Amino acid sequence: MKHFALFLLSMFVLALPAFADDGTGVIAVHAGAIVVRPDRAYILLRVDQTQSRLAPIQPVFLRTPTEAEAANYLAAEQAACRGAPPAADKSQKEATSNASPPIGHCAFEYKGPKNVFAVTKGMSFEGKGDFHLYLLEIIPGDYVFYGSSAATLSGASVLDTCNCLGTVGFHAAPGVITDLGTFLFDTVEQKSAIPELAAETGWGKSFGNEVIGAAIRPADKDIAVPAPLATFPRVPAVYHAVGSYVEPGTDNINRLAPIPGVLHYTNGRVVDEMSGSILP
Amino acid sequence: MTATFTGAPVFTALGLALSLSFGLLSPSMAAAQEALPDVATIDLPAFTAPAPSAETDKVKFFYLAKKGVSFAEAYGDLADCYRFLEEGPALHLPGYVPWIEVPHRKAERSVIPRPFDGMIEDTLEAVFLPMIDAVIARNLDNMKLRRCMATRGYQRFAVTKEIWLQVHKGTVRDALLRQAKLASMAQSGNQGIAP
Repeated sequence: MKHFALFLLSMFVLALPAFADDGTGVIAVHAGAIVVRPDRAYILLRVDQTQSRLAPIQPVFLRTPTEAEAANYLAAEQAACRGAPPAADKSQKEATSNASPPIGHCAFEYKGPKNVFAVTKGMSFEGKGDFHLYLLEIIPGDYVFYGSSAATLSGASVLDTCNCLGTVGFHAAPGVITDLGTFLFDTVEQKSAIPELAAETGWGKSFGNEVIGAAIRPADKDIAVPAPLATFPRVPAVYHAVGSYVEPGTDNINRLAPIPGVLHYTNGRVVDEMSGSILP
Repeated sequence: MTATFTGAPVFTALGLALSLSFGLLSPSMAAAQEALPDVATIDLPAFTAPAPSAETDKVKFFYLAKKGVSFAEAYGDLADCYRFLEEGPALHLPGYVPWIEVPHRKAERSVIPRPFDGMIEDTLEAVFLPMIDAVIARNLDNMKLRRCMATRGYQRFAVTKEIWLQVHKGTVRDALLRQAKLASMAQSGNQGIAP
């Protein structure tokens, strides 16, 4: 009985949302007194799943590490992994070499700042059901729409589908609200009713609901903004294409749906429409 | 479609996956550093592609092909898409990724322990993984490879398990060379399964 009570208590604690001080520097702004700090950046986004056949999906963003953060991570990695045995994942258990692995090939706990986060429903500024609007206070910098994650009751989640085959990035400047527009998600199994995802879906039942299709409808002058935010400085996000990248920590890979004037694909390669160049 | 196969039928698909996981051989690096052999010297198993049916979407064993693609181009596409098969610990959120946009960020990163994670995974691993691990790994790899290659216009063509094993035997490079040859042999009369 005691163990059962502890189990229930642990479920309750896990279910408590933690929007600040989780190492990301991300703070959800809720309705009430709103202050736009000159030293912080803000992103406004909507997640619209009214036409989606998926359970709630959370967009995942990556902030490009600063040089100091990258150096700190490298130093921590080198300190933790020098002479360490290989990471104990299922494949490496079968390794026969007793030699120390090179730097970058061991698992270690990094206690520094985190730069990848999901936008969870608990962060909602307003909305209900399948449509929510979010206003997040974040660290100024360059961000990438990194992938998507299925929401869980506990709030804990993992990256489910990365945008590894092509996505977009944007700069979040301090002192203003950067409007990211509307994020749309659907299953890839059947052709989506969402116009932006129609050509990126319909792959057949063998994919099931495991791969998440994602699209962004950038903000335009007609996009709805909550009245409490109307008086604050707000600019539409200036998106740029981001080329492919490898993310071994996800089971599924996909690409962000094309965005006219920003992101396009040719023979699977990412095309930056701003420059006309093909990205790696 | 028929072809001739003369190699030894040794199953090393898991070895292929492990080689990729360890980074012992990077296909894209191999493609960049080594010249491709004459396509005529690459042996393939003899087989007849099954006719597509309503069930073929569920096929587990297939090869990817595109009409009009050259052997070299197919090898480059396959090698590039094999990059995404690299496996690692799940990315828990929030987390840290040592992002380097250009060139591609390195794949390795730290692991953040979670309560009970190790206990649950160890238990599941001990009981179930010997039975299902290879199947799951193959399916995940298939989905990643299918998605990546589909964006480049490739379609699936069903084969038997035995043929699939023969195509994927040997080193990563051997398997890629066979797959690239198959990919470049798509005939106008063949029907693939999209994607």
